[in-house]
Amino acid sequence: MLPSSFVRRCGAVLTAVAAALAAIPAAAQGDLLVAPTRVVINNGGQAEVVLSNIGAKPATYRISLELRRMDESGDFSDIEEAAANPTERSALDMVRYAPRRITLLPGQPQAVRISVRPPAELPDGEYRVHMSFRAIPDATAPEAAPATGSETGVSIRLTPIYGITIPVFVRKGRLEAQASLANPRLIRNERGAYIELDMGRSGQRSVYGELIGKGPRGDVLFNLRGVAVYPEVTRRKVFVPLNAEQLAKLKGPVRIEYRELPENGGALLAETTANFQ
Amino acid sequence: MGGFASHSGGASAPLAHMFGRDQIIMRNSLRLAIFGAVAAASFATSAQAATSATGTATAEVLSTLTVTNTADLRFGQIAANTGGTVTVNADLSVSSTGALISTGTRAPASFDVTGTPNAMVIVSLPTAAVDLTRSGGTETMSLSGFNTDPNGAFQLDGSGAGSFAVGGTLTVGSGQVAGTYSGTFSVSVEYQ
Repeated sequence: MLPSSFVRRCGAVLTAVAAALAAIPAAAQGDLLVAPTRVVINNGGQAEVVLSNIGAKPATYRISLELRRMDESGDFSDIEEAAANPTERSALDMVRYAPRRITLLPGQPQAVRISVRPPAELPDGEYRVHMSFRAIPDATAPEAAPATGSETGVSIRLTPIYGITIPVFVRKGRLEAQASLANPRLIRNERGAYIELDMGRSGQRSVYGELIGKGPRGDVLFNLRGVAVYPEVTRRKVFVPLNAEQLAKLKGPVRIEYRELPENGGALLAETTANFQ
Repeated sequence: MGGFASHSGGASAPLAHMFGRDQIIMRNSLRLAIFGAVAAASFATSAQAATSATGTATAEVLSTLTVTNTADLRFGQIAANTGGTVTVNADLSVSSTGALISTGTRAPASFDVTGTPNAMVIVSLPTAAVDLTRSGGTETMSLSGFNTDPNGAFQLDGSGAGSFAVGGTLTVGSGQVAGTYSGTFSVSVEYQ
């Protein structure tokens, strides 16, 4: 949840981020920092997100709104604007932001202002867009082709356009949601060991929090933060990766809790218990 | 969350001082990425500095996310001959098909991520092929089969750090015109 006083403090945030940047080693062009990492706006209002250039060179960033859908496997898929459903269309239409393009010197931060005014006739519910911050690569002059000693020599120059995407939620009305956890199972395969479990959701909005595995004495065995179930699904799978140490401690009954993040109050959303070995 | 001693350094305080704040915050057991902690430390300071002027006295913690590009996706030098494919996978495996000859350094792109400790992040890649165009010409070749390691979602470690690699498959035509082919591909790190 975005603190209501966030907007007022933005000046302080900017200087804070600027100070943080001095500690970050210089890196490639287009490197970036975004804070916060999710935005919730209740019944309209404003928020700001800070974008900083943490690279070694000036860079220009484009800010755009995109659509994502969660599926039952917990993956995101990219939805083209033309394929938007009415809920997604409404979200795109009511979220305004500026600027859409920012050129920043190394170490320089700038705020992107978001403002939302839901239309009165809009049905209650949760609406979501994903705000993308991405560096625009230089229109670099073509490089001289390296000598290859071969007439058919081909070389490749690839520039990644990389960025960060954060969700922006607009909630209209008083929305409730419940979560559930079921069927935790331990899986070992070529990807390593992990716990897979099914998360359920009901109600009119997403749920968000952390998964905490606790041993018989309440000791924390694993913790996976930033796990959401979006309103477009009523259930999803989630994978909790385990290292060797965590795996070794997974004896006896394990209590798995799904809680709001501590900064959001830490309320228990759902729980289940399992015996893995 | 009060309790931050007032001081006049503000945002221009030396870094050593910021790190001092950072440790104080960590001892207060707020779970923060290191950058987040530094930002929060300075933020708390600034908020405190503002206190005397406005009378508000709380500081919030902002979660931050950073992405830095630490290595390029490299396919080395290719002699096209009658064409084929060169694959550089995110897991460092390299292969080729057809009659082409591929030499030189072949390695996946890599990225560092910092954010909230233990947080799950998702890496998204192009699903469609992207075209590379020859410098000074119009000839193209395509890059497809993008893959990441770790695959899809992954978890940042206890200090909020993580990294991932990106690879793909280049399709080279028979008698592909020699030259340098340039192109871009999109990678984004997503929070839920």
